[in-house]
Amino acid sequence: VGTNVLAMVRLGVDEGAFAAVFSAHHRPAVRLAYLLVSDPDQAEDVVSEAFAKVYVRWKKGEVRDVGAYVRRAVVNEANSRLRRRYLERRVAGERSGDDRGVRLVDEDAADRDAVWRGIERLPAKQRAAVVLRYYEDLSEAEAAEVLGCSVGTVKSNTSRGLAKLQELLVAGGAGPGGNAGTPTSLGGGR
Amino acid sequence: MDRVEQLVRDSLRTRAEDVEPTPHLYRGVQDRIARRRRRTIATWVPAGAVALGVAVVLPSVLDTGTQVPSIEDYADGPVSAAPTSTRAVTVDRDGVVALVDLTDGSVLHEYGSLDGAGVPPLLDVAPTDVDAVPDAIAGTPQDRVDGPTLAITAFTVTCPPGSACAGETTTSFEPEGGAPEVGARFAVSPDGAWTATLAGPMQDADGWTLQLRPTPRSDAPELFREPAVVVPAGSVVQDWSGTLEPDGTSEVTVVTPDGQLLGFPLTYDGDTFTWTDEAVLSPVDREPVAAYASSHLGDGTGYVLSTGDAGLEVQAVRGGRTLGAVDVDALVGDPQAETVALDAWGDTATLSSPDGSWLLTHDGQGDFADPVALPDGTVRAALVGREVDDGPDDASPDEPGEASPAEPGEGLDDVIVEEPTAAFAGPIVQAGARSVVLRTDAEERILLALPPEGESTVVEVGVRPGSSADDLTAVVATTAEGFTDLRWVEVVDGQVQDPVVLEGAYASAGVGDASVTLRGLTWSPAGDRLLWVEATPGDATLRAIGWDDGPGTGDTATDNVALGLPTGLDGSLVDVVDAGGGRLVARFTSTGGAWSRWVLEVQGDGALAVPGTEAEPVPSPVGGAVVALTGADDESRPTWLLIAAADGPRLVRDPFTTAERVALPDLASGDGLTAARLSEVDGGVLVQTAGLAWSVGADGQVTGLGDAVDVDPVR
Repeated sequence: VGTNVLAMVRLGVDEGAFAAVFSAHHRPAVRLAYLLVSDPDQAEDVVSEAFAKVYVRWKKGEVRDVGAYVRRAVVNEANSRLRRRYLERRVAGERSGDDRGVRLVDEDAADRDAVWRGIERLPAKQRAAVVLRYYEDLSEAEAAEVLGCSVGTVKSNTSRGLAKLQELLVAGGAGPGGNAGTPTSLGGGR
Repeated sequence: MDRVEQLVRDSLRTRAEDVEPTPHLYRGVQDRIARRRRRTIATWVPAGAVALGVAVVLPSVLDTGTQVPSIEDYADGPVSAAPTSTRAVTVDRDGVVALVDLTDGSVLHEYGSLDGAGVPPLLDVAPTDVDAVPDAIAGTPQDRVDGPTLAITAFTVTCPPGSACAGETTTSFEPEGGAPEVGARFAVSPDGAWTATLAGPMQDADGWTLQLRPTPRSDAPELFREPAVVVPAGSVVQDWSGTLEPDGTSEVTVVTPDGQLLGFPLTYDGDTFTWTDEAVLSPVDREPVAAYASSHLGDGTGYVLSTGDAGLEVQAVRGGRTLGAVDVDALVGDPQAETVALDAWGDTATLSSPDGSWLLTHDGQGDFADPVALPDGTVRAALVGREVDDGPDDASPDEPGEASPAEPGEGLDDVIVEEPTAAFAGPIVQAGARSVVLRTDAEERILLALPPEGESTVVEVGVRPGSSADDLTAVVATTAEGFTDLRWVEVVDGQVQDPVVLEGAYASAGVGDASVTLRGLTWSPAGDRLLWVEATPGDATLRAIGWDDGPGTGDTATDNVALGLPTGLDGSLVDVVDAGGGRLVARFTSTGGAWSRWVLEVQGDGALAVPGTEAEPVPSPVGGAVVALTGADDESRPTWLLIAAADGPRLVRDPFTTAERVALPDLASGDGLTAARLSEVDGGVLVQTAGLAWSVGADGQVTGLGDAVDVDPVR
């Protein structure tokens, strides 16, 4: 936003190149979004919104590392939506057909995976920290930059998230040394 | 890496590999980009249309040299239709700082006076909630024992719901002395927390240095490392635009004594400012520049005061080219950067000088209306705009979207909204993420304001039937970290009461259990019950509490009841309609795209009961998934539907009879219809979805209501 003088001189940005930018970054973005929001349709919504925001700055030449920028946009958008998650559930699954929503190759697998169901139950900030550390393989400092918080906060959210997962796994019978692929009580009712 | 960490990693990667984007995702991105453009254009169009009208109606004073149209002649003027600049903070010759309604020149709020007025006043406005009185920051040059300085005064205003606004004044001196010379103006950062001033010469620097300091209203640390930016002595700070968010860039602009316009991009990580580039020489081809202002909308538009072939003029510029210009030779005789100032927001700019201040409005394409004089004695004016969404940073749903880099005129044909602030079927209660506002044709009143630094956000609001603008009850659902609570707000004899949280048996179960989600909040038609659905995975309950003077005070036997929802009601509660004969019909949307109705029975003692009937799913009669509905015919069937069709969202009136389609602006096929809601009112309908709201009149005319997470009529 707003670097107007820069905008005056940074002319000739090729809008068509944005399609190539999208092509290079959209798949990991969708996967990251899904890991954060669980809902396949919401994941595509998150990514659509993130790329729409990225486009504004990209066009003005303000995005130097598109991948990092997209990652940050996805995480922030996903966190924002998780805070409103019960509204989002109102329409979860409403859309159908092969032109809407992310395709889940094996939906049953998600249900079988007790660890995944535990991750889904983590508070948003803990979940984001865990996903960035163990899926994106970001360092604590890199994760802190994406999340806009301190390294200490990343550390505490990650450790608290892992502790809660371990607790859930033990309670669910899978145990940290057990078979996480077996059905457990994770994800049960109230 | 221990066992749990390995399990987590394996699980995440397995899940991620299961996900494949659909081929149409990019189309969704394009639709969103287009929608953002349309939102920007929707701002331009009404202002431009009216502005051009004014250009015809009002005398062309610059040609004749006669009196400039004054704001009193401006009651129907262009600014009233420009949502981004209906108010300005002004300073008059006596140093009085005031918030002025630009549509009629009336003073909405008087902040106080500046000491030492009479010299060129300095002024900016800190970004605050557009619904409240904005904070203002002003100042005057002063000579102190230890050297010249700027006395910077912050007018910080709070407007608690139901109470009059209260102000606090704080003054600091910038720089604090010691510099032989101080710049004639200052700029305030986009978040209102910092000022940029020039002073010098300092040690080891021939020119003046740019100094960034916390404003008096700021909690920013006093000590920080600032970059060494040296500009020629006598330069004047013009503007500070952009964002200070960690991932964003802002820019301080400076005009040098020889009229060069320099831009200094900087980033801020919460601790340290960093200049990200060399100073940029602007390509404005008609130097010397006397003043500059950004539009603050991120669309690359700026305003430049300079001398062209025809004399002194203000140009609207974008992307290195001039969009248009307005002759101001007759207004500002001596365009010295020390004495003239430009300020802008969107398609409106103010030009200020010791001789007076003027509004300069254009249509987004560069055609300016004639300048309009602000009230007599106004020597400085800063437009009050609204905050904008700064890209990917943590945004709440009611924050306006970032303006897109639309080209002039682009998307004009798509715009259906012609008068965003035109009369709507009010009064209404409109909820943003952090505030709930009662809107009437005459005013807006804040019913609930959540602290901006908090986690809580508003997600739903329901106005009790039988309410009026002066006597109103509404219940607001808010969420923080997944926990849900309900608060009710009241207006009694025109006075907004303090909000009250529903507690104990009348609270939502989600108040202490993040796994409980609230799906729909509504009132019975008589206003004697508040109903909502609480859901956990695999379980859902309809809650109802009686209501007369508050929760649990209904004149019924069902002051607090929980009814298990029948299987199949997997969507959200929409509303409850009176089917007659002691029956109520609760209507739900369904995840399968149909809508459902569930008959409830009001027994003789007023108790709410379930007669044993199953919920009845009703397919959409017009194709597509039913996202929202409202209105009821004799068979409790909706008279309005919001449909998610393959070709995009569709609003349908009388779906079971004529099935008339009503176009909605700004909704594209890629938009997810999250949190959609319809409310029938006066033969028309209020629509809320995708963070926006519209009023659709009985005649089909669509009026944009702006950003909203929910909207409900007062009736």
